[in-house]
Amino acid sequence: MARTTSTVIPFARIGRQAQNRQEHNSPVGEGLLMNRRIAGPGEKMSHYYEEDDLERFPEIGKYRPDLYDIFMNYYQGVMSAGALTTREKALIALAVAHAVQCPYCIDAYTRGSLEAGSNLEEMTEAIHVAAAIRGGATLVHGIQVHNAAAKITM
Amino acid sequence: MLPFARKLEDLGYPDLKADRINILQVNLGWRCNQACKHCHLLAGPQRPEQMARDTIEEIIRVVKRWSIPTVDLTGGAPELNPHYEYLVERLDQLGTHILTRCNLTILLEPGKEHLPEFFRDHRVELVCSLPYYQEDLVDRLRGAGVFQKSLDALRRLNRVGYGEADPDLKLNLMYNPAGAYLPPEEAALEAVYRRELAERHQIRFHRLLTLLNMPIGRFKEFLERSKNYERYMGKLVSGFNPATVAGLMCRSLISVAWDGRLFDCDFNQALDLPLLPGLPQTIREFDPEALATRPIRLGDHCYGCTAGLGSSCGGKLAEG
Repeated sequence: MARTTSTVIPFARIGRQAQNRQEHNSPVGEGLLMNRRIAGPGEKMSHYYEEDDLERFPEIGKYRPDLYDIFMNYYQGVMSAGALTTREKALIALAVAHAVQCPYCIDAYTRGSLEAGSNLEEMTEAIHVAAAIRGGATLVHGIQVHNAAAKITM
Repeated sequence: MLPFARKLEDLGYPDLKADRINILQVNLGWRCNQACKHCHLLAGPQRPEQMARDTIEEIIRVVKRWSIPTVDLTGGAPELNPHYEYLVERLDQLGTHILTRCNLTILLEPGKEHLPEFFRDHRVELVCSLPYYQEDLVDRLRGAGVFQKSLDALRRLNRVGYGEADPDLKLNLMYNPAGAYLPPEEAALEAVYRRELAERHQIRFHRLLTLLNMPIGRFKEFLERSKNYERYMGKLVSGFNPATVAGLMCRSLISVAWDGRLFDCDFNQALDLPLLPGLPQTIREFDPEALATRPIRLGDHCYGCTAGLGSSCGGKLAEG
Protein backbone atom coordinates (compact mmCIF):
# COMPACT_ATOMS: atom_id res chain seq x y z
CA MET A 1 0.00 0.00 0.00
CA ALA A 2 1.28 3.43 -0.86
CA ARG A 3 2.69 5.45 2.00
CA THR A 4 0.07 8.00 2.84
CA THR A 5 0.61 11.59 3.77
CA SER A 6 -1.53 11.01 6.76
CA THR A 7 -0.14 11.07 10.22
CA VAL A 8 -3.58 10.11 11.40
CA ILE A 9 -3.50 6.38 11.13
CA PRO A 10 -2.13 5.58 14.57
CA PHE A 11 -3.24 1.97 14.79
CA ALA A 12 -1.99 1.16 11.32
CA ARG A 13 1.30 2.90 12.02
CA ILE A 14 1.71 1.13 15.28
CA GLY A 15 1.38 -2.12 13.39
CA ARG A 16 4.17 -1.08 11.01
CA GLN A 17 6.31 0.25 13.83
CA ALA A 18 6.14 -2.94 15.85
CA GLN A 19 6.85 -5.00 12.75
CA ASN A 20 9.93 -2.92 11.92
CA ARG A 21 11.26 -3.28 15.42
CA GLN A 22 10.84 -7.00 15.39
CA GLU A 23 12.53 -7.27 12.00
CA HIS A 24 15.55 -5.33 13.16
CA ASN A 25 15.67 -6.72 16.67
CA SER A 26 15.46 -3.16 17.85
CA PRO A 27 16.30 -2.21 21.40
CA VAL A 28 13.52 0.36 21.15
CA GLY A 29 11.21 -2.44 20.18
CA GLU A 30 12.51 -4.56 22.99
CA GLY A 31 11.88 -1.69 25.34
CA LEU A 32 8.33 -1.42 24.23
CA LEU A 33 7.44 -4.96 23.36
CA MET A 34 9.69 -7.27 25.28
CA ASN A 35 10.29 -5.61 28.60
CA ARG A 36 6.62 -5.37 29.24
CA ARG A 37 6.04 -8.17 31.69
CA ILE A 38 2.87 -10.08 30.95
CA ALA A 39 1.13 -11.56 33.96
CA GLY A 40 1.51 -15.34 34.22
CA PRO A 41 -1.26 -17.80 35.02
CA GLY A 42 -2.72 -17.16 38.45
CA GLU A 43 -0.99 -13.76 38.72
CA LYS A 44 -3.01 -10.62 39.00
CA MET A 45 -2.40 -7.90 36.42
CA SER A 46 -1.61 -4.54 37.98
CA HIS A 47 -3.86 -2.68 35.54
CA TYR A 48 -6.38 -3.61 32.89
CA TYR A 49 -5.04 -0.87 30.62
CA GLU A 50 -1.28 -0.65 30.07
CA GLU A 51 -0.04 2.20 27.86
CA ASP A 52 2.41 -0.06 26.08
CA ASP A 53 -0.31 -2.52 25.11
CA LEU A 54 -1.29 -0.20 22.28
CA GLU A 55 2.01 -1.11 20.64
CA ARG A 56 0.97 -4.76 20.83
CA PHE A 57 -2.05 -4.28 18.61
CA PRO A 58 -0.52 -6.44 15.81
CA GLU A 59 -0.64 -9.44 18.15
CA ILE A 60 -4.36 -9.54 17.41
CA GLY A 61 -3.35 -10.63 13.91
CA LYS A 62 -1.69 -13.77 15.26
CA TYR A 63 -5.01 -15.60 14.91
CA ARG A 64 -7.05 -15.08 11.75
CA PRO A 65 -4.45 -12.79 10.16
CA ASP A 66 -6.70 -12.60 7.11
CA LEU A 67 -9.35 -10.78 9.14
CA TYR A 68 -6.73 -8.56 10.73
CA ASP A 69 -5.39 -7.57 7.30
CA ILE A 70 -8.89 -6.84 6.03
CA PHE A 71 -9.51 -4.66 9.07
CA MET A 72 -6.21 -2.79 8.66
CA ASN A 73 -6.83 -2.10 4.97
CA TYR A 74 -10.32 -0.89 5.74
CA TYR A 75 -9.00 1.21 8.64
CA GLN A 76 -6.34 2.85 6.50
CA GLY A 77 -8.85 3.53 3.75
CA VAL A 78 -11.29 5.11 6.18
CA MET A 79 -8.72 7.30 7.88
CA SER A 80 -7.00 8.60 4.73
CA ALA A 81 -8.01 11.99 3.39
CA GLY A 82 -11.16 11.91 1.29
CA ALA A 83 -14.16 14.22 1.34
CA LEU A 84 -13.03 14.95 4.90
CA THR A 85 -9.48 16.03 5.72
CA THR A 86 -7.23 13.90 7.94
CA ARG A 87 -7.49 16.67 10.53
CA GLU A 88 -11.30 16.41 10.58
CA LYS A 89 -11.16 12.62 10.72
CA ALA A 90 -8.72 12.70 13.62
CA LEU A 91 -11.07 14.98 15.56
CA ILE A 92 -14.03 12.70 14.86
CA ALA A 93 -11.93 9.74 15.99
CA LEU A 94 -10.97 11.60 19.15
CA ALA A 95 -14.62 12.35 19.93
CA VAL A 96 -15.62 8.73 19.31
CA ALA A 97 -12.69 7.58 21.46
CA HIS A 98 -14.23 9.52 24.34
CA ALA A 99 -17.72 8.27 23.63
CA VAL A 100 -16.52 4.65 23.74
CA GLN A 101 -14.09 5.57 26.54
CA CYS A 102 -11.11 3.79 25.03
CA PRO A 103 -7.83 4.91 26.65
CA TYR A 104 -5.78 3.50 23.76
CA CYS A 105 -7.80 5.45 21.21
CA ILE A 106 -7.64 8.62 23.32
CA ASP A 107 -3.86 8.26 23.46
CA ALA A 108 -3.60 7.50 19.75
CA TYR A 109 -5.90 10.29 18.56
CA THR A 110 -4.57 12.95 20.88
CA ARG A 111 -1.27 12.39 19.10
CA GLY A 112 -3.05 11.92 15.77
CA SER A 113 -4.90 15.22 16.12
CA LEU A 114 -1.72 17.09 17.03
CA GLU A 115 0.09 15.50 14.10
CA ALA A 116 -2.72 16.64 11.84
CA GLY A 117 -2.09 20.23 12.97
CA SER A 118 -5.00 20.45 15.39
CA ASN A 119 -4.89 22.11 18.79
CA LEU A 120 -6.34 21.70 22.26
CA GLU A 121 -9.15 24.18 21.58
CA GLU A 122 -10.46 22.11 18.66
CA MET A 123 -9.83 18.84 20.48
CA THR A 124 -11.76 20.03 23.51
CA GLU A 125 -14.66 21.12 21.29
CA ALA A 126 -14.69 17.66 19.73
CA ILE A 127 -14.90 16.10 23.19
CA HIS A 128 -17.80 18.41 24.01
CA VAL A 129 -19.57 17.18 20.89
CA ALA A 130 -19.18 13.61 22.16
CA ALA A 131 -20.40 14.67 25.61
CA ALA A 132 -23.36 16.57 24.16
CA ILE A 133 -24.46 13.64 22.02
CA ARG A 134 -24.07 11.21 24.91
CA GLY A 135 -25.98 13.55 27.20
CA GLY A 136 -28.68 14.13 24.59
CA ALA A 137 -28.94 10.41 23.92
CA THR A 138 -29.47 9.79 27.63
CA LEU A 139 -32.10 12.48 27.90
CA VAL A 140 -33.99 11.55 24.76
CA HIS A 141 -34.41 8.05 26.18
CA GLY A 142 -36.49 9.79 28.84
CA ILE A 143 -39.27 9.67 26.26
CA GLN A 144 -39.08 5.88 26.58
CA VAL A 145 -39.68 6.36 30.29
CA HIS A 146 -42.64 8.55 29.60
CA ASN A 147 -44.01 6.03 27.11
CA ALA A 148 -43.44 3.08 29.41
CA ALA A 149 -44.98 4.88 32.34
CA ALA A 150 -48.00 5.93 30.26
CA LYS A 151 -48.49 2.35 29.24
CA ILE A 152 -48.80 1.08 32.79
CA THR A 153 -50.37 4.07 34.43
CA MET A 154 -54.09 4.71 34.73
CA MET B 1 17.62 0.55 16.73
CA LEU B 2 19.19 -0.20 13.36
CA PRO B 3 21.96 2.39 12.82
CA PHE B 4 20.95 4.89 10.12
CA ALA B 5 23.99 4.08 7.99
CA ARG B 6 23.01 0.37 7.99
CA LYS B 7 19.46 1.27 7.05
CA LEU B 8 20.73 3.15 4.00
CA GLU B 9 23.13 0.35 3.16
CA ASP B 10 20.23 -2.10 3.12
CA LEU B 11 18.47 0.20 0.67
CA GLY B 12 21.42 0.34 -1.71
CA TYR B 13 23.12 3.50 -0.48
CA PRO B 14 26.33 2.03 0.96
CA ASP B 15 27.75 5.51 1.45
CA LEU B 16 25.43 8.43 1.03
CA LYS B 17 27.13 11.14 -1.01
CA ALA B 18 26.45 14.72 -1.84
CA ASP B 19 25.72 15.32 -5.51
CA ARG B 20 26.30 19.08 -5.75
CA ILE B 21 26.67 22.24 -3.67
CA ASN B 22 23.85 24.61 -4.47
CA ILE B 23 23.57 26.14 -1.05
CA LEU B 24 26.16 27.42 1.39
CA GLN B 25 24.44 27.51 4.76
CA VAL B 26 26.24 29.90 7.05
CA ASN B 27 25.69 29.88 10.79
CA LEU B 28 26.62 33.38 11.90
CA GLY B 29 26.59 32.56 15.59
CA TRP B 30 24.64 31.03 18.42
CA ARG B 31 23.63 34.30 20.03
CA CYS B 32 19.90 34.88 19.95
CA ASN B 33 17.45 37.25 21.60
CA GLN B 34 15.29 34.17 22.32
CA ALA B 35 15.94 30.81 23.99
CA CYS B 36 13.33 28.53 22.43
CA LYS B 37 12.53 25.14 23.92
CA HIS B 38 12.94 23.44 20.53
CA CYS B 39 16.32 24.96 19.58
CA HIS B 40 18.80 22.30 18.46
CA LEU B 41 21.76 24.65 19.05
CA LEU B 42 20.93 25.77 22.61
CA ALA B 43 21.11 29.32 21.29
CA GLY B 44 20.32 32.22 23.58
CA PRO B 45 21.23 35.75 24.65
CA GLN B 46 24.30 34.66 26.63
CA ARG B 47 25.99 32.58 23.92
CA PRO B 48 29.36 34.07 22.95
CA GLU B 49 29.81 32.23 19.63
CA GLN B 50 29.85 34.71 16.72
CA MET B 51 31.39 34.48 13.26
CA ALA B 52 34.35 36.86 12.99
CA ARG B 53 34.96 39.32 10.15
CA ASP B 54 37.83 37.36 8.62
CA THR B 55 35.63 34.26 8.35
CA ILE B 56 32.91 36.39 6.75
CA GLU B 57 35.49 37.54 4.17
CA GLU B 58 36.29 33.88 3.46
CA ILE B 59 32.60 33.21 2.87
CA ILE B 60 32.41 36.07 0.37
CA ARG B 61 35.58 34.84 -1.35
CA VAL B 62 34.23 31.30 -1.72
CA VAL B 63 30.82 32.41 -2.99
CA LYS B 64 32.46 34.68 -5.55
CA ARG B 65 35.17 32.24 -6.63
CA TRP B 66 32.86 29.28 -7.06
CA SER B 67 29.63 31.10 -8.01
CA ILE B 68 27.58 29.48 -5.26
CA PRO B 69 23.98 30.28 -6.24
CA THR B 70 22.37 30.48 -2.77
CA VAL B 71 23.60 31.48 0.66
CA ASP B 72 21.36 30.55 3.59
CA LEU B 73 22.06 32.64 6.68
CA THR B 74 21.13 31.17 10.03
CA GLY B 75 22.03 31.29 13.72
CA GLY B 76 21.07 31.96 16.59
CA ALA B 77 19.63 35.13 15.27
CA PRO B 78 21.91 35.79 12.26
CA GLU B 79 21.02 39.49 12.34
CA LEU B 80 22.75 39.79 15.73
CA ASN B 81 26.12 39.20 14.14
CA PRO B 82 27.69 42.69 13.78
CA HIS B 83 28.81 41.81 10.23
CA TYR B 84 25.44 40.49 9.04
CA GLU B 85 24.51 43.53 6.98
CA TYR B 86 28.00 43.81 5.48
CA LEU B 87 27.78 40.17 4.38
CA VAL B 88 24.32 40.62 2.83
CA GLU B 89 25.43 43.75 0.96
CA ARG B 90 28.47 42.00 -0.49
CA LEU B 91 26.52 38.87 -1.45
CA ASP B 92 23.85 41.02 -3.09
CA GLN B 93 26.55 42.72 -5.18
CA LEU B 94 27.63 39.27 -6.35
CA GLY B 95 24.07 38.48 -7.44
CA THR B 96 23.74 35.64 -4.91
CA HIS B 97 20.31 34.50 -3.81
CA ILE B 98 20.28 35.32 -0.09
CA LEU B 99 18.07 33.62 2.42
CA THR B 100 17.80 34.55 6.08
CA ARG B 101 16.24 32.45 8.83
CA CYS B 102 14.58 35.10 10.93
CA ASN B 103 13.02 34.63 14.37
CA LEU B 104 10.79 37.70 13.76
CA THR B 105 11.16 39.22 17.24
CA ILE B 106 14.65 40.42 16.27
CA LEU B 107 12.94 43.06 14.12
CA LEU B 108 11.65 44.74 17.29
CA GLU B 109 15.01 44.83 19.09
CA PRO B 110 16.55 48.29 19.59
CA GLY B 111 18.71 49.21 16.61
CA LYS B 112 17.16 46.55 14.37
CA GLU B 113 13.97 48.35 13.40
CA HIS B 114 15.33 49.12 9.93
CA LEU B 115 15.71 45.45 9.01
CA PRO B 116 12.45 45.07 7.01
CA GLU B 117 13.59 47.79 4.59
CA PHE B 118 17.14 46.39 4.58
CA PHE B 119 15.83 42.92 3.68
CA ARG B 120 13.65 44.43 0.94
CA ASP B 121 16.46 46.50 -0.55
CA HIS B 122 18.66 43.41 -0.89
CA ARG B 123 15.86 41.04 -1.95
CA VAL B 124 16.54 38.72 0.97
CA GLU B 125 14.24 35.70 1.04
CA LEU B 126 12.90 35.21 4.55
CA VAL B 127 12.08 32.00 6.39
CA CYS B 128 10.47 33.06 9.64
CA SER B 129 9.79 30.84 12.63
CA LEU B 130 6.15 30.72 13.61
CA PRO B 131 5.53 27.28 15.08
CA TYR B 132 1.76 27.75 15.24
CA TYR B 133 -0.94 30.31 14.53
CA GLN B 134 -2.14 30.53 18.14
CA GLU B 135 -0.67 32.52 20.97
CA ASP B 136 -0.51 29.99 23.82
CA LEU B 137 1.45 27.39 21.91
CA VAL B 138 3.94 29.84 20.42
CA ASP B 139 4.56 31.54 23.76
CA ARG B 140 5.02 28.18 25.49
CA LEU B 141 7.72 27.20 22.99
CA ARG B 142 9.40 30.53 22.40
CA GLY B 143 8.77 32.67 25.46
CA ALA B 144 6.05 34.94 26.85
CA GLY B 145 4.92 37.65 24.45
CA VAL B 146 6.70 36.16 21.43
CA PHE B 147 3.49 35.51 19.47
CA GLN B 148 2.28 39.10 19.58
CA LYS B 149 5.76 40.39 18.76
CA SER B 150 5.92 37.95 15.84
CA LEU B 151 2.62 39.27 14.49
CA ASP B 152 3.91 42.81 14.83
CA ALA B 153 7.05 41.87 12.90
CA LEU B 154 5.04 40.10 10.18
CA ARG B 155 2.86 43.18 9.74
CA ARG B 156 6.00 45.31 9.33
CA LEU B 157 7.26 42.87 6.68
CA ASN B 158 3.89 42.95 4.87
CA ARG B 159 3.99 46.75 4.92
CA VAL B 160 7.31 46.86 3.01
CA GLY B 161 6.01 44.36 0.45
CA TYR B 162 6.95 40.93 1.86
CA GLY B 163 4.34 38.21 1.44
CA GLU B 164 2.69 40.14 -1.39
CA ALA B 165 2.68 39.71 -5.18
CA ASP B 166 6.38 40.56 -5.72
CA PRO B 167 8.00 37.12 -6.13
CA ASP B 168 11.38 38.54 -5.08
CA LEU B 169 10.14 39.40 -1.60
CA LYS B 170 9.44 35.90 -0.37
CA LEU B 171 8.08 35.52 3.13
CA ASN B 172 7.87 31.87 4.15
CA LEU B 173 6.87 30.65 7.58
CA MET B 174 8.34 27.68 9.41
CA TYR B 175 6.20 25.36 11.53
CA ASN B 176 7.60 22.82 13.95
CA PRO B 177 5.67 20.59 16.35
CA ALA B 178 5.27 21.68 19.96
CA GLY B 179 6.25 18.29 21.30
CA ALA B 180 7.12 14.66 20.67
CA TYR B 181 5.10 14.18 17.51
CA LEU B 182 5.60 14.55 13.77
CA PRO B 183 4.60 17.59 11.70
CA PRO B 184 1.27 17.64 9.85
CA GLU B 185 0.94 17.44 6.08
CA GLU B 186 2.38 20.72 4.78
CA ALA B 187 -0.27 21.83 2.27
CA ALA B 188 -3.20 21.13 4.60
CA LEU B 189 -1.62 23.07 7.46
CA GLU B 190 -0.60 25.90 5.13
CA ALA B 191 -4.25 26.40 4.17
CA VAL B 192 -5.23 26.69 7.85
CA TYR B 193 -2.34 29.09 8.62
CA ARG B 194 -3.27 31.23 5.64
CA ARG B 195 -6.93 31.47 6.67
CA GLU B 196 -6.22 32.07 10.38
CA LEU B 197 -3.47 34.65 9.88
CA ALA B 198 -5.46 36.53 7.23
CA GLU B 199 -8.81 36.54 9.00
CA ARG B 200 -7.62 37.15 12.55
CA HIS B 201 -4.48 39.20 11.99
CA GLN B 202 -4.54 40.44 8.36
CA ILE B 203 -1.14 38.87 7.72
CA ARG B 204 -0.03 37.41 4.40
CA PHE B 205 2.81 35.02 3.57
CA HIS B 206 3.93 32.86 0.66
CA ARG B 207 4.58 29.32 1.83
CA LEU B 208 4.47 27.34 5.03
CA LEU B 209 7.35 24.92 5.55
CA THR B 210 7.15 22.16 8.13
CA LEU B 211 10.21 21.02 10.05
CA LEU B 212 10.46 18.05 12.36
CA ASN B 213 12.08 18.52 15.75
CA MET B 214 15.47 16.82 15.68
CA PRO B 215 16.13 14.65 18.72
CA ILE B 216 19.12 16.76 19.76
CA GLY B 217 19.79 19.91 21.82
CA ARG B 218 17.05 21.32 24.07
CA PHE B 219 14.43 19.17 22.40
CA LYS B 220 16.39 16.02 23.28
CA GLU B 221 16.61 17.22 26.88
CA PHE B 222 12.81 17.56 26.87
CA LEU B 223 12.39 14.08 25.37
CA GLU B 224 14.58 12.53 28.03
CA ARG B 225 13.05 14.50 30.88
CA SER B 226 9.54 13.58 29.82
CA LYS B 227 10.53 9.94 29.10
CA ASN B 228 9.51 10.31 25.46
CA TYR B 229 12.93 9.74 23.90
CA GLU B 230 12.68 6.02 23.07
CA ARG B 231 9.16 6.31 21.73
CA TYR B 232 10.02 9.35 19.61
CA MET B 233 13.08 7.64 18.14
CA GLY B 234 10.97 4.54 17.50
CA LYS B 235 8.53 6.73 15.62
CA LEU B 236 11.28 8.26 13.48
CA VAL B 237 12.80 4.86 12.71
CA SER B 238 9.48 3.22 11.86
CA GLY B 239 8.54 6.24 9.75
CA PHE B 240 11.62 5.88 7.54
CA ASN B 241 10.62 6.76 3.97
CA PRO B 242 13.10 5.77 1.20
CA ALA B 243 11.56 8.42 -1.08
CA THR B 244 13.14 11.15 1.06
CA VAL B 245 16.75 10.01 0.56
CA ALA B 246 17.29 11.51 -2.89
CA GLY B 247 16.35 15.00 -1.69
CA LEU B 248 18.16 15.06 1.65
CA MET B 249 19.49 18.56 2.16
CA CYS B 250 23.02 17.38 2.95
CA ARG B 251 23.28 16.24 -0.68
CA SER B 252 23.08 19.77 -2.05
CA LEU B 253 24.19 21.93 0.86
CA ILE B 254 27.25 22.49 2.96
CA SER B 255 27.10 24.12 6.38
CA VAL B 256 29.68 26.56 7.71
CA ALA B 257 29.86 27.00 11.48
CA TRP B 258 30.49 30.32 13.22
CA ASP B 259 34.17 29.35 13.58
CA GLY B 260 34.56 28.53 9.88
CA ARG B 261 34.45 24.74 10.25
CA LEU B 262 32.51 22.76 7.64
CA PHE B 263 29.66 20.35 8.37
CA ASP B 264 27.19 18.32 6.34
CA CYS B 265 24.29 20.16 7.97
CA ASP B 266 23.39 22.44 10.85
CA PHE B 267 22.39 19.42 12.96
CA ASN B 268 25.82 17.82 12.60
CA GLN B 269 27.20 21.20 13.63
CA ALA B 270 25.07 21.10 16.78
CA LEU B 271 26.42 17.61 17.52
CA ASP B 272 29.98 18.63 16.66
CA LEU B 273 30.24 16.00 13.92
CA PRO B 274 32.52 17.62 11.33
CA LEU B 275 32.99 16.40 7.75
CA LEU B 276 34.56 12.95 7.41
CA PRO B 277 38.35 12.79 7.77
CA GLY B 278 40.31 13.49 4.60
CA LEU B 279 37.91 16.19 3.42
CA PRO B 280 38.55 19.94 3.67
CA GLN B 281 37.53 20.92 7.19
CA THR B 282 37.24 24.72 7.05
CA ILE B 283 35.91 27.40 4.73
CA ARG B 284 39.53 28.44 4.07
CA GLU B 285 40.17 25.02 2.52
CA PHE B 286 36.93 25.05 0.50
CA ASP B 287 37.36 22.86 -2.56
CA PRO B 288 34.24 22.11 -4.58
CA GLU B 289 35.93 19.20 -6.35
CA ALA B 290 36.36 17.39 -3.06
CA LEU B 291 33.17 18.59 -1.42
CA ALA B 292 30.48 18.39 -4.10
CA THR B 293 30.46 14.60 -4.13
CA ARG B 294 31.71 14.02 -0.59
CA PRO B 295 30.47 11.09 1.49
CA ILE B 296 28.11 12.34 4.21
CA ARG B 297 28.74 11.83 7.89
CA LEU B 298 25.68 10.00 9.21
CA GLY B 299 24.22 9.53 12.66
CA ASP B 300 20.98 8.21 14.10
CA HIS B 301 19.58 11.73 14.26
CA CYS B 302 19.43 11.49 10.43
CA TYR B 303 16.24 9.42 10.91
CA GLY B 304 14.70 12.82 11.66
CA CYS B 305 15.17 13.91 8.04
CA THR B 306 13.77 10.70 6.54
CA ALA B 307 10.66 10.11 8.65
CA GLY B 308 7.27 10.40 6.99
CA LEU B 309 7.40 12.94 4.20
CA GLY B 310 10.89 13.95 5.26
CA SER B 311 12.13 17.14 6.80
CA SER B 312 14.61 19.78 5.80
CA CYS B 313 15.35 23.48 6.04
CA GLY B 314 13.20 23.74 2.91
CA GLY B 315 10.30 21.76 4.36
CA LYS B 316 9.11 18.29 3.36
CA LEU B 317 11.14 16.11 0.98
CA ALA B 318 8.59 13.72 -0.52
CA GLU B 319 5.06 13.77 -1.81
CA GLY B 320 2.33 11.96 0.08
